Amino acid sequence: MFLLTYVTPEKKVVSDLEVDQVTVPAYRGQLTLLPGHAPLISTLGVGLIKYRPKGKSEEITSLVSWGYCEVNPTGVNILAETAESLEEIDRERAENDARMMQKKLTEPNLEPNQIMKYQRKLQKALARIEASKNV
Amino acid sequence: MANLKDIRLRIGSVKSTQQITRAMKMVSAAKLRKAQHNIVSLRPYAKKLLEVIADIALSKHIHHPLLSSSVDSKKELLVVLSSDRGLCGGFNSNINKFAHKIYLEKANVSDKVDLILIGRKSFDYFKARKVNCKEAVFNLAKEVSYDYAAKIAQRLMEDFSEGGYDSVKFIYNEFKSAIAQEIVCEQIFPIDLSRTSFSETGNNSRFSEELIFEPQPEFMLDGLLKQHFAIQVYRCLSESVAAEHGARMSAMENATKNAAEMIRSLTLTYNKLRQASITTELIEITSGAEALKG
Repeated sequence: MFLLTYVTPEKKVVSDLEVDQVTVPAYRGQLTLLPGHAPLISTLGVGLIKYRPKGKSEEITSLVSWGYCEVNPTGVNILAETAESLEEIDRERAENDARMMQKKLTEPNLEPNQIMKYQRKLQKALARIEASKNV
Repeated sequence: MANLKDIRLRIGSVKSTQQITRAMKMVSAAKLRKAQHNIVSLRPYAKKLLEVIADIALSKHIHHPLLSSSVDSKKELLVVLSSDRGLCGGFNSNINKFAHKIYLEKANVSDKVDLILIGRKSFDYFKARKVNCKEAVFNLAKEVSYDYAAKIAQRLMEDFSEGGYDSVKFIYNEFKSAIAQEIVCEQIFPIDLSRTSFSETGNNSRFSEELIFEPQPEFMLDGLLKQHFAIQVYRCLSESVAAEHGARMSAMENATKNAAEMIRSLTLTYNKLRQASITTELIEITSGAEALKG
């Protein structure tokens, strides 16, 4: 038994789905989880989540941004801030966002939390562009 | 007795009012569905999040200011959730009365009670009673989004740590069903893990001591708690909005029914009056004819 629960505040992506393996963008980079993994709690960055439902050969991919990932003996819980399927991504918009954020980050006299906000947005836009290449 | 023309006008105006109330009912029903969907979809997230927090806190025995549970709180912050607009039955007056009562009770016992009012209706209520609030937030219903809730939660958390409050409580209408709301007073900060079901079921034994943390648990717990409070605030807001639409829906349903009843009785009076005037005219004509004959 290796169950994946993948939720965001605004929707439930999957709940208690039996999977063979899950790949998440964890704190120290891409992390592939297989049944029997040691208990772990990690933060998530921005990136792709891939999971393969049991008995299927195709992987399902979606874009995730920030959140938490918990591995316990029964499975994986992913608590993400946002989750987008690859079809939802608007590449043009992401490219615009990335350009705008890059421009904003060069402005003088930014407050620390502003810088953080822009960097997060930039990161997300870049991840979206990267993800759209995979389609 | 009113004349025929007056009654006709009256029937017309009641009819148009009925149309408005019926439309409002439809709108509320649609909004209610959306708000209900919000609540249902965030429940699994909220549940899992609390599980993770409990896992960390219980396995590492971490103490955090937002996790400790002081029994008697002396300084409290009350957050009252009402709506911006009326026409929703007893929704706002009930919550205001309840909040006022609690406020007065607490003011007697506690050292300090402050109010944060969300929604124009409670702001007006407390202003009329010369009760000062710390802060008021309007125009909520339009933008109940997670981002917005997260901002409010952030502010509350700052207030909590800077204002030296012992607890933060939310007073809001909990959504029971489309026709029923229940007023609840719920403690949001700090969370009391001993009251959650996890410690009862012994769920903390799920993990051995060798739980891997990336990065450090202390650092992560902070973020998790922030997330948790944002979710709690979001849930309360969604509940309140759903309850508001439910209350408005049933209020408008009643209004539509009352209007139908009124139209019926006015039409009856109108017909009676019309017949009476026809009869009078006939009598006049016949008696005139009789007089001429004679």
